[in-house]
Amino acid sequence: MVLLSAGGALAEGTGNVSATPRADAARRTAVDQELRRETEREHQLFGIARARLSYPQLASVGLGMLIGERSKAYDCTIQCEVHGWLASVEAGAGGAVFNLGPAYLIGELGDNKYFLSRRYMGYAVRGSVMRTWGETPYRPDGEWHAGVEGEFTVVSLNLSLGVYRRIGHHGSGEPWLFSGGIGWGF
Amino acid sequence: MGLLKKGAGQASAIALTLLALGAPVRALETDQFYAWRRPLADSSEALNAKINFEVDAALREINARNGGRDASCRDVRELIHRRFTLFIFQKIELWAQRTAVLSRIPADEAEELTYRKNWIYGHVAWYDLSRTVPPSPTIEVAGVRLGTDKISHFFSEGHYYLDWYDGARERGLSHAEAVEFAVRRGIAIETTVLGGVISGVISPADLEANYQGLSWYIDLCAGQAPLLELGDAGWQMPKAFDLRPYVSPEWDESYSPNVVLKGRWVHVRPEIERHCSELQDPAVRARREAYAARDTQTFTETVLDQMVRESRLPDPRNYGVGRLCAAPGAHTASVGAGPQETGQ
Repeated sequence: MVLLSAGGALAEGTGNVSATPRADAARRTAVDQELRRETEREHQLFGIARARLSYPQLASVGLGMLIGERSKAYDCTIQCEVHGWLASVEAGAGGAVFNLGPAYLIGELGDNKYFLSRRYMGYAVRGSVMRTWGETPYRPDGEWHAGVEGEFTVVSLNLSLGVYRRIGHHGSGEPWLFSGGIGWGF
Repeated sequence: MGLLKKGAGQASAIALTLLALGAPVRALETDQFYAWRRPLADSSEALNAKINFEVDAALREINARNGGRDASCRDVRELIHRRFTLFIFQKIELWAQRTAVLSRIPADEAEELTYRKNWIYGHVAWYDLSRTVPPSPTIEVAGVRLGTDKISHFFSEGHYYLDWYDGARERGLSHAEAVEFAVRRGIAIETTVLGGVISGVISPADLEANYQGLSWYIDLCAGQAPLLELGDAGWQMPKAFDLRPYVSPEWDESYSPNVVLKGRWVHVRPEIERHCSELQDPAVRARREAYAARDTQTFTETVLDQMVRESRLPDPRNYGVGRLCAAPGAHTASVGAGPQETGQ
């Protein structure tokens, strides 16, 4: 690993003294090049999952894809930072939701190649379409809603809040719906 | 004046809330014992290069707008701060855990996964936050081995200290009084809310890094020769950043022990004691002797010692490997008189 040895070489002796000014300059150049390389980004696809208690879905599970950019210099086997777009589908006893929007996540794959096994911190604001069904309290069965959901995850604890408005002609009563949930995942 | 007080109170409440929300990062612990007998190159220059890289980027950004003339020194300072920090997890910590330019233990992904099983917090209860968030690796700077979380503390919590310091100065306190106010507030939060309740670890080493971060942030814009200067080419920092003068043996948690609260201590104590035999290792011995030779009584230690004397804090030395293993060379900086902040 050339660059790691560049970092190590910087430390020969005490870190203050080097063999020659030329060697010193070469090490600095190597470090500077690597620092610049770390700012270059590349795309990667990550699978995500979550399980929550929420309104109006009640108990629900979701799966999604995060198409994000991470540093070109290192993968996400251990913690990395990803900016990107998150699309997910979540279904529960009271309804189903499709979400799409920008997201930011610090997480890691661990031994897994595609699914993020740990989610340390993340947030997303997503446009959402929801269909209610079954035994949803206070909402009629079979309504369509469109809205916005914001979510925040810290150490896999996921919190979300959303606001929706009924779409389509059917349905009666309050057109606005407020959603919220707590659970595991992102 | 009432309005000022109210504003300061609100700012404090917001800062406390943010610190509490940032609690998980406080569970980012580190283990220098794990690195004791492993060789590690000094990363001072590489770390300085990264920090100067980010400072330069911040200066370029501020100077791109009207040559920086519309920005105050505080604006520049805030922009520099943002280059290193995030909400909860800190950018500089994420970088330090992954970059190839630092020499660190664990060195790679495979060793990282081993480290997570074998470090001193590896056997705490399953619900303990330190099992959920990644442990900080060890690097060496200026001959001191430290967790990369200390770099986060320097830039992130040092900035919280700065906010408290600035607030105190605005209320008319002198420099020394404002520093003391910030340090005491930091210690109070560490020993009650964060370390005392949330993470279960009170870390004098973290507090040292916070204090040094405060010193740097103050020096950026204050004093007779601030580190940041506005010239014809815009804002500049003529003297490149160097972390070495800020680092002391107190940043090494195997030398400056944490107070570990009961529930965790039963799991952590045997893990520390496992390292007792390593105290006789020539490299470990030499390092601890070198630390002892340069050890001074810091301002943070003086405040902590006062709290120990007043029975407001368990003595951190009782959690150190020196006392646990009944061996010489433990961190034994003397309990001093009342705290005196003497900087600037």
